[in-house]
Amino acid sequence: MRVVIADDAMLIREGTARLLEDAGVQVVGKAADAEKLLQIVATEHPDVAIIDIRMPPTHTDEGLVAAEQIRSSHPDVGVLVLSQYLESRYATRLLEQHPDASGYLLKERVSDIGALKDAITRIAEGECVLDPTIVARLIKRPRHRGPLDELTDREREVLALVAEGRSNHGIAQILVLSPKTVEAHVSRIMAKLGLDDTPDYHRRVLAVLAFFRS
Amino acid sequence: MACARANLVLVRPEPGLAGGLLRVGLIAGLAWTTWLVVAGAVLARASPPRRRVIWPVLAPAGCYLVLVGADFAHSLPRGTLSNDPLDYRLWLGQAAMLVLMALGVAWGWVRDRRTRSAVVRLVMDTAQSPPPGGLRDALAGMLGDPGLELAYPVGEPPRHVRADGQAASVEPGKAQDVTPLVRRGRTVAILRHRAGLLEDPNLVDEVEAAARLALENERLQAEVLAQLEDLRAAQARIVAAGDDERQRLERNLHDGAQQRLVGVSLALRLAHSQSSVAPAPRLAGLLGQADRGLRLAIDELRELAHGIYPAVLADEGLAAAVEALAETSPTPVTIGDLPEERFPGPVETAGYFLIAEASQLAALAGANGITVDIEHDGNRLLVKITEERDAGPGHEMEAGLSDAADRVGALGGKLHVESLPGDTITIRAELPCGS
Repeated sequence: MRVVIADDAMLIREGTARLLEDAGVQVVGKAADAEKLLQIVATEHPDVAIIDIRMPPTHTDEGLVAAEQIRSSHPDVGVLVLSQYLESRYATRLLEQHPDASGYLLKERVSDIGALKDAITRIAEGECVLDPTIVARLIKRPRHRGPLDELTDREREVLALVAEGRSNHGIAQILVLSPKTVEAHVSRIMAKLGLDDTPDYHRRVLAVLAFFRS
Repeated sequence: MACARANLVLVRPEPGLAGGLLRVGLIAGLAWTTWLVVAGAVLARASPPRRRVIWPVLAPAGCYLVLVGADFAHSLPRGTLSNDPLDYRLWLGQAAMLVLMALGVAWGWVRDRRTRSAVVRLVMDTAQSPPPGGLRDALAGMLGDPGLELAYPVGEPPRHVRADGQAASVEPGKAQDVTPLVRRGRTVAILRHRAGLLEDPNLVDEVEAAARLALENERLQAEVLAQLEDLRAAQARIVAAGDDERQRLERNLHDGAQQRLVGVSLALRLAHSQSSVAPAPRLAGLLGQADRGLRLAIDELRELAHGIYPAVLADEGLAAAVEALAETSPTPVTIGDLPEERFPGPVETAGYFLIAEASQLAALAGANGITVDIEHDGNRLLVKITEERDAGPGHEMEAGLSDAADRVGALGGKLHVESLPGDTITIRAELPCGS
């Protein structure tokens, strides 16, 4: 697998590259700003670009803008945005536009090489990835009594994994269940939440996220 | 001799000389009238307002002189003034012009009277201390210039404000003149009006004299209002400076401390994986502990930074920040209408902190939840927060909202807290957003 890393903090850029290389991922380029990143993506065509959300010059959402640009102009390159922000708006801004081969993880995941490698692998396969902490925050959000209260603990577990962008196959692996059981869980959850049980994996993720945020 | 007897005033019978003198007289008369007409024309070009005033007199006078001149010119070849039919017609014309001139003079007199009585009315009107801005209306009506502006010099160094204390322009414009109303060498007010409206210095003095008391009153009022406006502006600057500082702190925490912690956590992980032999269980435990500690620190720092100033508010706007608030608020937040558009920074910040404070107060009071509705109505942003709780008076809410109230006040907005029957508290804020 070939990735490019964009982060203006040298320590994090180099450290992440080292960790990834140790884990057998080929780092084909490193950029300190969005402009350099776009250049590398155009010449190297990596599988995934790992992008810090805050980059020069304004340190606000340059990384997000660059990720959107890459998804539009290089559909074969996946993007993983690393961010300090838990607010779901940044993530949904990315995922709603390009739900396939896009991901949004909290910055501190870079030191969790297992989670990082899992995320870029899934993104390279076209899945979408949303940080579990953000999903947990969305699920735990205080709300009036509603359909979420009617889910069993297992169903909530499955729902969280759906929101993280996991496929039925991935969920089955994590929860050590058969894919058929997962499928049954998912359709029951969708029915309880009043959402269409669409076979389209990306639309399913977006529907669940929209449900959480409403 | 017969001739001499017939003409009692005859001094010397010299028809040649008499004819010559008559001719010289006619030429002199013609030159004189021509000069008068030219002088009148020059005078009439003096200034538009003066022309307007003297036109009813000057026009017939000019015609009259032209007719007199024509009579002289007509008589010149004849060598004597006479009374042929053309002369008769010219005389009739002259008489008509004289009548018109008289009417013009009379009209000017009537107009003067009218202005004077308007000035008197102004005295009467202004004696009853009109509301702020009322004097401008009265003057505009009296002088017949609806666009008239009245400004007062206030403060040191002097600047100019309207009666409501807002800054006013006293620069002459394209079709706008500026006339100061001066008393004892001091400018009490400045009128910005249609060009040429107040070129008569007597009228300016009369206006100043008539409105003296009201001008003084309104000037004092304007001064107080301008001071209030200054205070509000100072408050807005303080709030803005505080917010800038909050934003700077938030950035420093995110880009500095938090980034460093992530870097350290990364370095720790690298150190862990680089050692060729597996670390002793005790060391592995310590490394794990350090990593967990770092993660907690990163989380806490994130929360701290968010509390200081939510980056999502500056980056993505009020709607995104309110949604984020609903994700973490201790009390359920129902989001109603929420315009996605961006508003000026201070407006978004005031709206956000109002909602944030209200949600915290609602949680403290054990409310069942709050509902947030935001509406963009012309140049105002209307924020409505409805809180449902089982009991609790509204004034507690008001006291708890003092910080938000300061922000709303600094923007010149309004905050209104109302307890409705059925244990509902409604907070309404009206924020001017200038668009």
